[in-house]
Amino acid sequence: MTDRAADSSQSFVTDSDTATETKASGGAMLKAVGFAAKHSFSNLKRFEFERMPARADEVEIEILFCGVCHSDIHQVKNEWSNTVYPCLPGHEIVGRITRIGSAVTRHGIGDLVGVGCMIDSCGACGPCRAGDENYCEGPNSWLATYNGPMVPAAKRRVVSIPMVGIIPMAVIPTTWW
Amino acid sequence: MKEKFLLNIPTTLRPEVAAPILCAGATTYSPLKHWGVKAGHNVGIVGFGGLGHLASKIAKAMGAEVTVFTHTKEKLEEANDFGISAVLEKDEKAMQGLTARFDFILSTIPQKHDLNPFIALLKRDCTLCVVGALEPLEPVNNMQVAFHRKAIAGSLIGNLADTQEVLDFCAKHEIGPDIELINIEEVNDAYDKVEQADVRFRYVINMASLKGAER
Repeated sequence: MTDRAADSSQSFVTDSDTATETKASGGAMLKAVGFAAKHSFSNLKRFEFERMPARADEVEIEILFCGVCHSDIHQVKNEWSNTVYPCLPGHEIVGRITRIGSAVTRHGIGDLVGVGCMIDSCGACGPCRAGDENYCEGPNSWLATYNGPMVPAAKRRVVSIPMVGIIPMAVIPTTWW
Repeated sequence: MKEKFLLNIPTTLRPEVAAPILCAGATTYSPLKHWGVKAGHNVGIVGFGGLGHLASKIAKAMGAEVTVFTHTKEKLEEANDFGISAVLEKDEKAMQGLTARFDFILSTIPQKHDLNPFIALLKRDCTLCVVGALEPLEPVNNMQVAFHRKAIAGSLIGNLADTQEVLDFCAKHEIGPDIELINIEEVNDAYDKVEQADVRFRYVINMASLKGAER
C-alpha cells in the first residue's frame, strides 16, 4: 500500500489484519494504478496502490472502459458527505477477467464482464434474499463501487475487497480487486 | 471482486457502449420496469443528460410514447433526432397542454429541483419517480398529489437481475447510450463539462490511455 492509502485504511483495517489476509489468500499484493482525488477540491491524478489477490469466490479484472457519471462527481467532491480520501471514482466498468478464484464457476479467464454500482451486500436480509441487493437492510447496507464508508458485515470482507472503503474500484486500469 | 456481483456483457454490445448501461441503464430501467411501463403508455423523462437520454431510448423500446422535459433549448432538437418529442420546462403553454397526460414520469435531474410542474402532468393514480437527486428537493404541494391520488417515489440504481436484464434488453433492441470516448487525462475536463451539462451524452474513459498517463 502507499503511505497515504495505508493511513486512510486504519479506520477499517489494522496492519495485522491485512498481513493475515494476505497470507490466507496465498498471493502477493497486486500493484494497481488509477486516477484518484486526494481531497474534495482536488483534481484526479495518477495514483498507484495495491490490492489483495482474488479469493476463492472472486475474480481479478483488467478494466477496459469506465463511464463518467454525475454521481462520480458528487462522490469526488464529497457532495454526499461520505467520501473517503483518496477517492478513486468510477462505477460503470467493463473489463476482462484475468484470474479466477478456485470457487468461481460461472466465469472464466478472458470473459468480458461488467461491474456496476455495487460489489457486495449482506446476502441475508429480506431484500437481499428477494434479489433486491440494492435495498440491502444489512448493518452496513450494500457495498457501493463508488467509494464511501459502507462496508458489509465482517471486517474480513473489507480486507478481501482490497481498498474498499478506501479506494473502491474505479478508474483502475490493469486492475485487480 | 466477488463473482456474484459480476454482470455479463452481451456479445453484440460494444464494451465501451455497455459501460454506462451498468449504472445509467440500470438506474432508469429498474423504475420503468417496477412501475409497469408498457406499450401505449405515455412516459415523461425529466432531464436529458446521461440518464435521461438512455431512459428515453429504453422507454421507447418498451413501446411507450416518450416525452422529454429539458431546460436546454438545443436539446429539443437533439431529442427529436432520437425520434423523441421534447418540451422546454419553462414553456408553460406546452406544459399546460400535457396536464393529466402521463402514466409515469421519471426525473433524472442530479440536483435539487422542483417536481410540482410535473405532478400536474400525471394521470390519476400514477407515479413520478426521482432517481437523479439524492438530497432534499423543493417542497411538494400535496394538494396536487392528493387530489388525484398520485404518488411521488424514489428508486436507487438497480438490483443485479435488473442490471443484467437491461444489458440484455439493450442488446436485443440494439440501443445504447451515445458516448464520447476520452483518455483518462481528460477526466477532469470531462467532470467540468458534465457539471455544465455540456456532454452528449456520456463520457467513457478508454482505460488503455492510462499506460501513457503522466507519472
